[in-house]
Amino acid sequence: MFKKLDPLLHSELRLAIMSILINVDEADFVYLKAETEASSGNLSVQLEKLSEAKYIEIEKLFENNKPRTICRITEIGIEAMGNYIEALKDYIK
Amino acid sequence: METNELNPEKSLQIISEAIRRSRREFEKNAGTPLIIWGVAILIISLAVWFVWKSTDNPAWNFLWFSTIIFWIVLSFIEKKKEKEVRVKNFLGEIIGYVWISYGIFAVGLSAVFCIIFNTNSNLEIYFSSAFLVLIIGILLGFSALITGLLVKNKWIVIAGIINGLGTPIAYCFLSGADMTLLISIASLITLLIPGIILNLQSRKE
Repeated sequence: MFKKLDPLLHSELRLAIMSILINVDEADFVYLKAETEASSGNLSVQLEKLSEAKYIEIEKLFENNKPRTICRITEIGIEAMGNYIEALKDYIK
Repeated sequence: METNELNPEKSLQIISEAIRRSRREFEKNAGTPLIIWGVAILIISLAVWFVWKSTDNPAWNFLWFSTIIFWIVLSFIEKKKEKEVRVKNFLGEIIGYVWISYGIFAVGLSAVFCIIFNTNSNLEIYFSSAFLVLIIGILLGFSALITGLLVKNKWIVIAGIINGLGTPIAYCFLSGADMTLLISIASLITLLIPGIILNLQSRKE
């Protein structure tokens, strides 16, 4: 019996965001946009979804009078990614 | 990139790609702290060797204190870089801490030895100065070894081991000012050259 894949992570852009964030301490919006090649609007929506699920935390601040959005993965997000990868193993076997 | 549904193979591909990109991001200019420390230690060790040799006064070893100047320069560069950095990586942070620890010990030990010499006239300053060089050499090898293991660079790992183990061996055969020349060679092979190699590699990629 295959384990169910987390629907929140089982989408190309959200998985890419989580995969980046699990490898780093933090990443800002500009970096995530460049790495995922997503549009600003789409990226914002997906970040919001991940944040609502408490998979990531978003910090909005001003640096040199410019707005900056910083994203970090949370403990819940790390656990969700772990479970997702575990479930993936079943499908790959 | 869209929000399309995935198949397991594509999911794995996305995860591996993110890991690869994260590593590449970290490798950007990863050699710069090594180059700065390499230049710093090379200059200081050559200066110590030169004045110690020409004056025959081992007290010149306290020039190692000037490491603090390079440390400030390095911190300033790092701070400036931090403003431009869009992503913070654990690995980069850990390597930074390794070299900050090295700086603390190099400067701290120089200070401790300085206090001991000024308060205890019975100590053989000549022996103690060479001993300070020995400790700095071992610490340099230790820090380089950890860095090499973290960045998975064989050259830095081998150089770190040779440096860490070679310094105490050389301590048995070399004496006085010549010990500092050993540190000059060590800074060249464990810091400066690997730092340049790392930066060139990351630029090629």
